[in-house]
Amino acid sequence: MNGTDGHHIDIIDRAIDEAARGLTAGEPGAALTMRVLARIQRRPSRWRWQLAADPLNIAVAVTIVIVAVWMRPWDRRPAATTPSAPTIAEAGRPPVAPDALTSSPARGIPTLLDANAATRLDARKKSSSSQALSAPAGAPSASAGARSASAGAPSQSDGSVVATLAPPPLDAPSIVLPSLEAGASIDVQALVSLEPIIVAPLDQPEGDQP
Amino acid sequence: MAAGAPVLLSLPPDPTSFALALSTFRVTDADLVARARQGDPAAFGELVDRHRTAVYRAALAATGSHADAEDVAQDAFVLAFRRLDSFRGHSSFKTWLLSIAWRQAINRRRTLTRMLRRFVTAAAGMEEPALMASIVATGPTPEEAVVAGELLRAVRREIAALSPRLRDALLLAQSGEYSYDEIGAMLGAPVGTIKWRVSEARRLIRERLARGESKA
Repeated sequence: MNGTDGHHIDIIDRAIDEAARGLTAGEPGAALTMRVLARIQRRPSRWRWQLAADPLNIAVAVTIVIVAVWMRPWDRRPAATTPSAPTIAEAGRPPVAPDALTSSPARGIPTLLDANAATRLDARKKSSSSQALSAPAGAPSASAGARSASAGAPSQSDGSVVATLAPPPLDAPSIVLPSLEAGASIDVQALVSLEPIIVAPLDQPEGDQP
Repeated sequence: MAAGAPVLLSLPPDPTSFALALSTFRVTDADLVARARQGDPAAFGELVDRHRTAVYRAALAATGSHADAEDVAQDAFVLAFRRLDSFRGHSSFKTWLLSIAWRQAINRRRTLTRMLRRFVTAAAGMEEPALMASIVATGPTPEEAVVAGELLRAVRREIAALSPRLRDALLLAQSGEYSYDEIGAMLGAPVGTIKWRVSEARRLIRERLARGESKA
């Protein structure tokens, strides 16, 4: 390396130093410290705990929980997905056994009305048939039935409301299926073993060979 | 203000209080950290004042944008305050803080929009008058000044074309703000590796410039 090359490298090195220093030169704004302190002093966790520890906020939260539990809006959700017409129709069927009228709490889907409601329904169906016909037989009665079924022990007022809104029972005779008689068993005879078919070996074909 | 320099605390409102006697003490970073941990925001404010330039320039080296560097510095200080309990004192507070700031800056650099803005800013920054003047002033004649300006622009182009590892090491080392130990802590590499990267970056720039000159 001669002197000219060394001088050239020195110039490039100086340029690299200057360029790199220029790319990192600068000062933050004067308000940086103030902004950092402002962000530190309004830490979200503090005011959240203060908000949660306020007795008034606790009272409001408890009230909201009590009202929500009392109204139980989540009990109405299954009724929206359950077809309502079959439920009402089955509720109005006259010869229904009480044990068959219970709901299925395991699935949370109301199948039939409770026994008391069915009994009252049977007693009132003549007097309230005109009113029931004019009432919509759709979602309101289904949701009431769903609420009484999912509650496990429905009140008297729930059953009467359902009975009022229910349509009149159908006068169709019940379909009775006769019991099937046990038929004779099908005897299958044992298979007869067949003699193997013996095939004779083919003879050489007659005629001219190509 | 340099890190670790003696600091005169501001006088309390009550001149007869005991704090007046403490106002002439040397207050180290460790003392300020201890006070900040006890919930003293003024102590952390003093730490911010001490290291704001170092944090800002590290963020600027990573992002290439003054606006992004300002945001990163702010986020880094807030994050450091929230993580003060995890500072064990194995390294200096400045090194620990720079590591946090560098991670924040790298996270920001990884987004595509930030990358685009960075290149635009870098291209616009090539005409910074102060930097140009410092190079131009070295040439005794106008012709040499023009040559020096061209050389500076070419060097900046080559720096921008370096791989991120080499470029980060070169910029941090040449900023004059950090020791090799601090750069190693930021980049997560040994000091020897950092030195090699700086040397390699210089060699590549020289080589590419020579190739460009020969082509021209």
